[in-house]
Parts: sequence; structure tokens; C-alpha cells
Amino acid sequence: MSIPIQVEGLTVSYGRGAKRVRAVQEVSFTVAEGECVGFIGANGAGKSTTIKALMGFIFPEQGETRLYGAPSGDPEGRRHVGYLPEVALYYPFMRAGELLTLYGSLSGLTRADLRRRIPIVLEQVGLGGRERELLRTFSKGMQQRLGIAQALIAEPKLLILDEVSAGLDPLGRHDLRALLQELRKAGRTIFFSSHELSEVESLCNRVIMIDQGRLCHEVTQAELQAVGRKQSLESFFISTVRGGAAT
Amino acid sequence: MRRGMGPIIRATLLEAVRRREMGVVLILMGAMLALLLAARVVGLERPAAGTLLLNLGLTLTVMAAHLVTLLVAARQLPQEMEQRTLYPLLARPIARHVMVGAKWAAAAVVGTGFFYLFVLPVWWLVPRLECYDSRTLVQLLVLQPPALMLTAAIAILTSVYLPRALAVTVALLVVFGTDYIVRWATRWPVLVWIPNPMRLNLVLRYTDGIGPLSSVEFAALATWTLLWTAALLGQAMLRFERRPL
Repeated sequence: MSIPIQVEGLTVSYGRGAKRVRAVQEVSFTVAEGECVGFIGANGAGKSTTIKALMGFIFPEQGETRLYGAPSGDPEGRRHVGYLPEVALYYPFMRAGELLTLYGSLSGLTRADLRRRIPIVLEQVGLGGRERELLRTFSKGMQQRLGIAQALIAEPKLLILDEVSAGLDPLGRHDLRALLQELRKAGRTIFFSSHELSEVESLCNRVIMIDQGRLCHEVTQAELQAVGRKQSLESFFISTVRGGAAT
Repeated sequence: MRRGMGPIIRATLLEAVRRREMGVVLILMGAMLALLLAARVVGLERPAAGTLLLNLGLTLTVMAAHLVTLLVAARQLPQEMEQRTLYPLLARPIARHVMVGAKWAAAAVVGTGFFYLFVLPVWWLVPRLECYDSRTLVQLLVLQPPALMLTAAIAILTSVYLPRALAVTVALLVVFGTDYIVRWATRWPVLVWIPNPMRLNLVLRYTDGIGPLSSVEFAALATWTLLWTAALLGQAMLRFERRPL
């Protein structure tokens, strides 16, 4: 099978005329099968814009993005992808089970698959037994857990998670880390953005840093281990972005 | 049906049924049915009063069905965007135009279901003391689904260009206002051809005891409506395919 993620010379701008802002400039990277890649950067650095372009929600001004060899706008490329958006307020009128049925059906799961998968993914994200509860009663953290469940429902080969730990309490973050470790061991390809750099450090075998719309550094597993011996990823990130020593 | 349409239609129907606004409309329609039932029990002596009640009941049913269709259709896409639920939907292997088509179909189904749910009890409850042509009634019943499809297409189209509140307002003006514009603007005959779901409302024709449309007129009206529906829906799909989200 072809490479899960290919981003080639991606440039994305927002606005028109004098108000035109370049959010991402000539970003290129790939994510190979089975890799777990962290995508880090300050607020407004271009992480979510890159991910949106990757998913085909926005269109590049230049360059191209591909999922499993298919251009991002092509639904076929998304067949093996599970995606978690940065923030989403899932339908308050629905029950957790109904939401997962909707997303699972759209991914091509049969009724039998859904019956089998829904309790499993709800259990995986710590929402076991809440299948019949209305989403309007769910807290922000529970909504985020449900977001992860919908990304996992069709057992995708590639997970693209935007701000994966946003809204989760320490317990939730701990459970999420364990879940991602498990998925990684199972051979899933994971590409995620997060501000929780300790999480990125512990999970990823590669980290891509973005600053002001441009890729500023790519750290491999060996470098990460070397960095870990000397300083934390957070200190390394700050010194890379600010160009000086961090405390 | 294109793959992916079914689950989106089901979700939209679920939303329409569970929303409080729908409960309010159903209560109001129920109150109207109760009044008609009371009139039937008490008994009407003057035939004109019966016709007035029949006209009122059928007109309110048609208007309410269009209103429900419009509200369901116009808020779908803006709401998905505001709540960001659009992203997990479009992260699935479905094309954007399929989603637009599913939202349109669901709105039309909700409106049509609503229309048939109330039109038959209204017709049955009001004592018919004057002569009405049943062939006109059949045409009225047959022409409403295409009219509701056109209303849904108008609302969906406005919603891909405008924010929710503005989309609802513009769609309301087009659906309920075009009939008045056409009636008053006799200088411009071309206006007769603009999309106008209310042109398919044969309630007055029925309660005035007028006979049915000729088969040519009936076919032309249905074809004109379906062509406009396809054109407006196609434009909405095209626009949504190209829109950055």
C-alpha cells in the first residue's frame, strides 16, 4: 500500500487582498506506515491548517497533500483514516451509540460490525456503558473521549488527531496515552498534534515542529532519545522556536 | 441512493423529530385539529363556514409543511459548520455533494411526512357542505411533495452561501414572497418562470370548487418545479464542493 501521508510544498492562505494571511508556507513531509508522528507548534503556527488541508477541508494555494496516494479531496483516500477535529460539539440530540452508528455507517461498517465495535470503542475511551446517554449531558472531556471513539470506530489504519488531549483531565490524558501506545503497538499509523509535549515525547518516534507556517525542525527517534537525555522536548522546542537557550 | 446518503438522512430525521421547535409546531397543529373536531361535533349550518374552515385548515397545513421543510433544510449545513461536526462527517469516504443531497432529501422527507400527517385529518374533520372537485384534491396532494422538494432546495442553496439566520430569512422571502411578487409584477411575464413553491398550492382552487388543472398544465407545473429543484440543488452541491471549510 502507498504512503499514508504525503505533504508536498503545501502553502495555504486565508483572506483576500490586503488581509491575505499565509497560514502555511511550503510545508513538506511524509508519514510512513506504522509511524507515530507528533506535530507540534505554538498557537497559530499552522498545525490545524495543515491537518485541514490534509483532510481536504481547505484547498492549498500551492503544493499537494495525499492520503494513501489519493489527493486529499478524493473520498477514496479517506477510506482508511480516522480523524479527530480540534473541537467539535457533537449533536446534542443524539445518544452516544447513535453517533457512533452514524459515523460507522458512513465508513462502511455493517450493522453486525457496529454492534460489535460500538461497545469496544466506548470501553477503550472510558465511556463504557454510556451508549444510551444523550450527548447534551456529556461534559467537554467526555465529548473529547467520544471524538476519539468516532475516530476509532472503523478500525482505521491511519489516525489523524488534532489537539488530541484538549479538554481531557489528567486521568483522561493518562488513559489516552495508554490507548495510543496500544494502537501504535498494533501497527496503526498515528499523526497527531498536541500541546502536551511530554505526551508527544513518550509516544512518538518522530516529531515535526512548525513555526509561523514553516517547518522548523524534524526530530527522529534517535534525536528524541538524545534530547531526552539532555533536556525535555519542551525545552528543545522552545529553544528551537525562539532560537535561544531555554530553561 | 448514493452510498453515505442513508445514515445522514436518518440522522437529520432524528434531529427534526427530537428538536423542541418540532414539538411546538406539532402542538399548534394538534390544537388546530382539536378546533376542527370541535366544529364537527358542534355542527356547522352555513356551507360557507365549512368552506372557510376547510380553506384555513388546508392552507395552514401547506404553510406549516413548507416552514418545517425550510427550517430543517436551511439550518443543516451552517449548524454543522458552527458546531464543527462537519469535519468528522466529511472525514469519511463520502463526497461533499452526497452530504448536501442527503440533507436536502431529509428535509423534503420531513416536510412531506408532516404534510400528509395533517392534511388528511384536516380534510376528514371539516364538514364538507359545498361541492368540491375530488380530482383537484388529488392534484393538490400529488403536487405538494415536488413543491416541498423545491422549498428544501431553495433553503439548502441559501445555506451554502449565507450564515444560518440570513439563510432562513432569504429562504422565507423566496418561498413565501415570490407568489406575491409574481401576482403584482404583471409587467414582467418572465417572473412567472422563477422558482415558486406556492404556485403548486391548489388549496384555493379546491375550496373554490374549481376543477383540476389540465393534464398538460399539471405536467408542465410538475416538470418546471422538478427542473428548478435540480438546478438549485446542483448549484448548492457545486458551491459546497468548492467551498473551503
